[in-house]
This record gives sequence, structure tokens and C-alpha cells, in this order.
Amino acid sequence: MDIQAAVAVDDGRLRPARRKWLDGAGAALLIALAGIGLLSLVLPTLIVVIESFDTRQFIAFPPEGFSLDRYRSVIHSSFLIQAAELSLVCSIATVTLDLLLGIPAAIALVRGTFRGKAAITAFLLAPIMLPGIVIGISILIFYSALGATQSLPLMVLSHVVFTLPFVLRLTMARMERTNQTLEEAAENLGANSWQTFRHILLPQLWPGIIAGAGFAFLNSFDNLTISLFTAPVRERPLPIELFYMTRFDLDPRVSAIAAIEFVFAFLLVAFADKKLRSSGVMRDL
Amino acid sequence: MTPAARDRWSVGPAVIFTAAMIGLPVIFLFLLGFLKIDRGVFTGKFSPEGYAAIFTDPYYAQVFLRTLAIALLVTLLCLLLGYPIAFFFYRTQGRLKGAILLAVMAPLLTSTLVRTFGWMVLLGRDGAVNHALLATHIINSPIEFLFTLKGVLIGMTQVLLPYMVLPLMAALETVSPMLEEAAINLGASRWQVFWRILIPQTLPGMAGGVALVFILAFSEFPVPSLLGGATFKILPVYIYQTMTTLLDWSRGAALASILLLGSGLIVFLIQWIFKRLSPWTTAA
Repeated sequence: MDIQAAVAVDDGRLRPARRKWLDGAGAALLIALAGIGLLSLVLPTLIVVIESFDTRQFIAFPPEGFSLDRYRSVIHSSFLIQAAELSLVCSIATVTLDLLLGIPAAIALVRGTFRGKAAITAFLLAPIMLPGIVIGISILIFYSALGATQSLPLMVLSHVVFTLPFVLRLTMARMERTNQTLEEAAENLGANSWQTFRHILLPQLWPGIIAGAGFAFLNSFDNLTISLFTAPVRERPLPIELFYMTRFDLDPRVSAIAAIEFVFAFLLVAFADKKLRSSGVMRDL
Repeated sequence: MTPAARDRWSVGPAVIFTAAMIGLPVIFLFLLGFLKIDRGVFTGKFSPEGYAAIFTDPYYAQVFLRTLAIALLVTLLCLLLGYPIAFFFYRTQGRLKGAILLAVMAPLLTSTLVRTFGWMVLLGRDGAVNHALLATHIINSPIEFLFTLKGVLIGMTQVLLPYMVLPLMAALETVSPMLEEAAINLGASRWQVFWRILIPQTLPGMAGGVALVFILAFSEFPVPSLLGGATFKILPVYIYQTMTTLLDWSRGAALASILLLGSGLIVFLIQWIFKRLSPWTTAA
């Protein structure tokens, strides 16, 4: 790019004092907007955590006392515990399938030399661009036509659809930075495919795999829009229960569940950050 | 196993899965607007009813335009708040930089429902925002945020903001500091550096963030349905109601197809506009 053209040397229309003032005003405006944005990012979660300790039986801010009543009430709500269990089972199954399908595909898509590689990569990553509501409705309608019903397996498969691209993309990004000569050396020394994968590739790929799996897990556990169409109707996953609890009345227990979920996600990220920081995997996200 | 066979067995399952689980269903979705379904039972009869009703009834055009307007407004708000955050991140060092990154990443890892619930607590008649505004005498009577457009805009902007900030952060990181130094040496003011160097250099990243936020805003369901209430009619909420309460699957499928095609078309337009704005780059 032509620097001269880009800078367009000051043509002297602005006097220095006025220029300084404009610079100051511009900086103040930018800082104010950034401040509002950052505050809005943090505030809602923070408020929910504070609110979860309120003593009252309804939601209002600020809280009027400190108690763990809401947490106690969550632990004693069997439908909430069952919902959390269902969500957990679903997320674990989703991530397992993601890894089984995603890791071999990611390796072959980077290393392989077959025709149509770019097209296949684009096809496999495409679901990331599909709105959740479209994924949910398409799967519901198509598999209903084939006689399937809303159930845990259908929910898991629908979650794999939108989480597989995370695992693929992050693993592929790591794979692109590996050194092929290491694999060739291992093979020349008599290693079979599995040994090459286990001892050469896996140690280089794991930060991408862990980040992809973690992202897939959280997204599956929190998913509402797709689950509304594919999850079992009787035993519902946690996000759907929370949706109904929020929709029809502001159930105070939601604040306690929200706080638990937040602390859990925060610990997961803090742990991952500590383990993955040096690997530069955050750049691939 | 030959290398070719190994590649086939590695990629094959993922391709078959994606084709069967989403490729075919999406194609079927497009076709379905032409079939008659009665309460989830396929009658197998051809009828363009699903699409016909949508294109003749002005009510749908209204819902579509409202959805479009809200999505564009949310995208604009995200850009307006997101660019300063990314810029601030670019200019700071050390601990503060880490704190900003955490503030941007943390919401991505908390569920949308949790954050929407947070806004319901904040924005209610008796919520924190109204308390603060009343106490400081900025307003005299509480503002109705919940179940209004204001609340929906605030909630959606906050939920989608990280998707705008992250591509912008990445784009700013790639700007060479030498360009800025050169501009300052040539006598440019700080504002000119921002407007003439940083903004044009980050247009491709901006295009990515704008397209992503727009797609997500156009199809966002939990936030408008909770903060807007059941009477707040935008396309995703309306599709959900058509599918689950009206049980009209052919119309739901037709609406979902239109949602998908409409958002694809607008993203294409956005990319085209950004390409015109930044003729020196080829990547978008």
C-alpha cells in the first residue's frame, strides 16, 4: 500500500490547538465506547452471580441479604439434576463423536494429496455458517420423515453437526504447523501408522484437540436453539429447562444454576489457559 | 493400506456424516415448502402453499423487514462498541491487555441463557439499571426495557459483541507499526492515523466480523424470545412458534429456507461492499 497516499500529509487546514483538541475528543470518545462495551460484557454475568445469594423468593436487584437457599433449592430439584445429567451425557457423547470423526479427517485434509481437498474442507466446515434454527428444523423434519423421533441420540447427532467444525478447524490449524519430515523419519525407522500417530502427531496436535473439544463441549452443553427441535420431549436438557423457567416466570433458581455454570466454565478456561498458553492455540480460534 | 486408502478412510466418515446429518436435511428443507404436511404427518401431496402464503401475505414481509432492520442495527452497534474495545486492546500492554481479552472471551464460554437472564435482572422495572438511573435523577420514572425493542437490542448486542471484537483484534495485530510511525513522521495527527491507517488496514477483518455478527443476529432465537416476549415477532421467534405451537411444518420449513437464503444473500452483499471499500486487498 502506498504510504504517501494513505497518510495524505496534513494540508494545514487545522490549526495545532484545534487538532490537539480533536485528538483529545476522539480519544475520549473511543475510551468511553470501549468502557461501555467492556462493562456490558461483564455486568450481566456478575449481576447474576451476586443475585444468586439473595434471600428473597423473587428476582430483584440489589439483593437484600445473603443466603444459600437458592443453591439448596437447586440441589433438591430432581428435574434440574436430571436435566443437567442429560446435558452432560449428551455433551460427552457429542465430543467423543467429534474427536473420532474430526481428528482423522483433519490429519488427512492437511497431509493427504487427493482430489477435491479444498472442496471437501469447505463442505465439512460449512455447518459453522448455518443458523442453529435451520440446523434444528432440517434435522427434525428430515428424520421425522424417516420415522425417527426426538430423542437423546438425535440430539447428540444434531450437536455433532455444529461442533465438528470447531474440532476440525483447530486440529487442522495445528496440523499445518507440524513438520512432515518427522513422520517420514518415523516411517523410515519402521513405525506403523498408529505408532506414527501416537508418538509423532498426537504430541504436536493435542493443544488444538483439547481446545476444540473444550469449545465443542461448552457449546453442546449450552445449546438451546438446536435442542429445542431434536431433544427428547419428556426428559429435557438443562438449557431447555432454563428457557422455560425464564420464559414463564423469572424463577430465582436460574440465578444459582447460572452462577454454578459460570464458575465451572471459568475454571475450565483458567485450567486450559494455563496448559495451552505457550502453545499459541488461542490464535487459531 | 495404501496412502490413498488411508485418506479415504480418514475423511470418508466425516463426509458421510455431514452429508447425511445436514446436507440432505437442508436440501429436503428447501423442497418441503412445496409439500403438504398435516400436523407432522406427510401427505405426499404437492402444494406450493408454504411458499405462496409467505410471498402473498404482507405480514411476512413486515416480519422479514423487522428482522433485517434489527440485525443490521445490532451489527452496527457491535461495530461501534467493538472497534474501540479492539483498539484499546491493541494499544495497551501487560495486565490490562489480559483483562480485556478475558472480558471478551468469558462471555463466549457462558451460555447465552445465563447472560440473557442477567439482562432480565438488570433491565427489569425494579432492576439495577432503573435503580441507578432513578437514584441519580437522570430519569423520573422507570424505563420499560423488558419486552421492548430497547431490551432486545441491548441483549443481542452484548451477546454478539465478542464475535465482532475477536476478528478486529486479530486484524489490528497484523497492522505493521511502521505504517503508523511513517504517518506520524509525515505529520499526521493521531486522529488521522486512526482514520487513514488503522481503519482501512482493518477493513478485511471488519468484513469478517460484520458478516459473522449479521448472520448470528439474523437468526438469534433465545435473546429476542426472552427479552422481547412472545409478542415480539422476528423471524426466528416466529419460525419457532410456527413449528411448535401451530405445528405447521411446511410453512416453518419455507420460512427457515427463506431465513437461510436471505441471510446468505445479505452476507454476500456485505462482503461485496467491503471489497469495494478496500480495493487494495483481495482476501476477505
